[in-house]
Amino acid sequence: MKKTWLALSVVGILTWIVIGWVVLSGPKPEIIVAAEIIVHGPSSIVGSWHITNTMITAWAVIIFLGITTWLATRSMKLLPSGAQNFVEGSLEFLVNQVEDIAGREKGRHFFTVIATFFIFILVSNWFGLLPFFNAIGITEDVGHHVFHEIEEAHEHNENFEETTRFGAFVMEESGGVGLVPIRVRGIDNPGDAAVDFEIEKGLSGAQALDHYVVFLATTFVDGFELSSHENHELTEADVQAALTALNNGATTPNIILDEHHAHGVPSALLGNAMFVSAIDFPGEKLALVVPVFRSVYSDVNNTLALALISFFIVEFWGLQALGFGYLKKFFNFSSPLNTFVGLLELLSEFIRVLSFAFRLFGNIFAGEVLILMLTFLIPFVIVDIIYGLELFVGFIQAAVFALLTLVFAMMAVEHHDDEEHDENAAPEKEGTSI
Amino acid sequence: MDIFLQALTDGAGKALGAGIAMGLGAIGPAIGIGMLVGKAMEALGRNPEARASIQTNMILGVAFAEAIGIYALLTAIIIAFVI
Repeated sequence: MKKTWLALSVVGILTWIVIGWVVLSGPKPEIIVAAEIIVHGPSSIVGSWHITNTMITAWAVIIFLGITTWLATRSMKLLPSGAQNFVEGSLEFLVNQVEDIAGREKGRHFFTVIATFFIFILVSNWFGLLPFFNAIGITEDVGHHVFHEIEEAHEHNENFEETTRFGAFVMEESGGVGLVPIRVRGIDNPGDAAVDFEIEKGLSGAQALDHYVVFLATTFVDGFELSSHENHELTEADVQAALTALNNGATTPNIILDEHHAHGVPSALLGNAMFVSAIDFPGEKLALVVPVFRSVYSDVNNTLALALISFFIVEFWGLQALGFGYLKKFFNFSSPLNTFVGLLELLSEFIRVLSFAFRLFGNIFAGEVLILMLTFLIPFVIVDIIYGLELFVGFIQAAVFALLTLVFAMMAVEHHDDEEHDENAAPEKEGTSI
Repeated sequence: MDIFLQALTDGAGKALGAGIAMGLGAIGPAIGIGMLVGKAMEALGRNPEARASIQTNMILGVAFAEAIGIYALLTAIIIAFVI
């Protein structure tokens, strides 16, 4: 009986793997480190006020936590049950943990901030594992965007200062909302990446236009081939052929020519014979799906923000407990050695921010990449195991962040009299008061 | 030689660099964390009452050791995506 079950589950798992490979193999996934911008905001002196998908997720987490807490503690009873019991139980567990480490008085003093760090990071990390993360998004039109860039370069009479790369998928019109990726050319070939277009450094707008038109033809027109393969230079014939091929097809992109040469970009090779005012995509278009939700701490800005909050609150607690005597730890000029040690302390204080930020970011981002890669490598089966691992990592990282903040806070509010006394008592220290 | 140089300029060098950075960078933290946890388990076996403080200190130590691995990851990410 046992053997039958074992055999059945092995067969089942293998079936899932095969089904995954055959039916669900997608294109090569794209890894993007920076958080994607959902709403473009105005730019100012301090930077741009974009709204990124990680920010949206962070807000969602905050709202979720707020509503949950409100619902759970709306009608408090002396004998807690249900949700209230759960919230109180978790908080009690956290209080006990913090008091175990920091002692009753200090523990209570630090508790609110430490617990906030822990709960917020934990829920954010676990939110990031929900299936609709990185999957549902708004489509961003790349095809028009590229032409816009070219137009801009031509208008300002500038050459492209650095190599600009545009990655996109060829997909059907989906009304602005899409799964990642909805329909991708070459889905029967799992190795196919998203299409790539590159404007090389130093090209003018007109030259870039030639490359773009030829790129569109090679992407959208079946059987279109370049004449010269030896050196990668484009020829007049190539551009002309691309233009004809594109405008002959019904669903291929249309190059809209401007007869009066008023607004638009001329071709570098064909001159005013191809004066393009717009490019239209009647059928499939070049677009990217930008996910609306993405795990909060897969964005280094968010982890840096948390690290800075942790840094400032620790410094605040230090100053609060010891007054300006706290700064003696860093600026101690009683002896050259102490000065040096103080400077090292000061430096490590700032390095902490960095390692706080990158520890959380590295763990969460690496987890996301791992899940993404395994989804495409061996669908369904291995990913489940990694999901379990990621649940654990999310918890551990939240605990580590909160715990480290707590330990640094304890170090900050500690009196240093004992330590100084020890140093003074050491035999090599001469002349200081004993 | 030419093929090698061509491959390097084609981005294979980047992939190689990122891989080496991460692979070598992971050795140190791996040994460190292994030793740390091993010793912590030993201590736990000897003195089970001290579980709370052993656990706390172990996680702290692991976090510090792991930070080195994170720096390697960061270097690898910068090599692969930024440079």
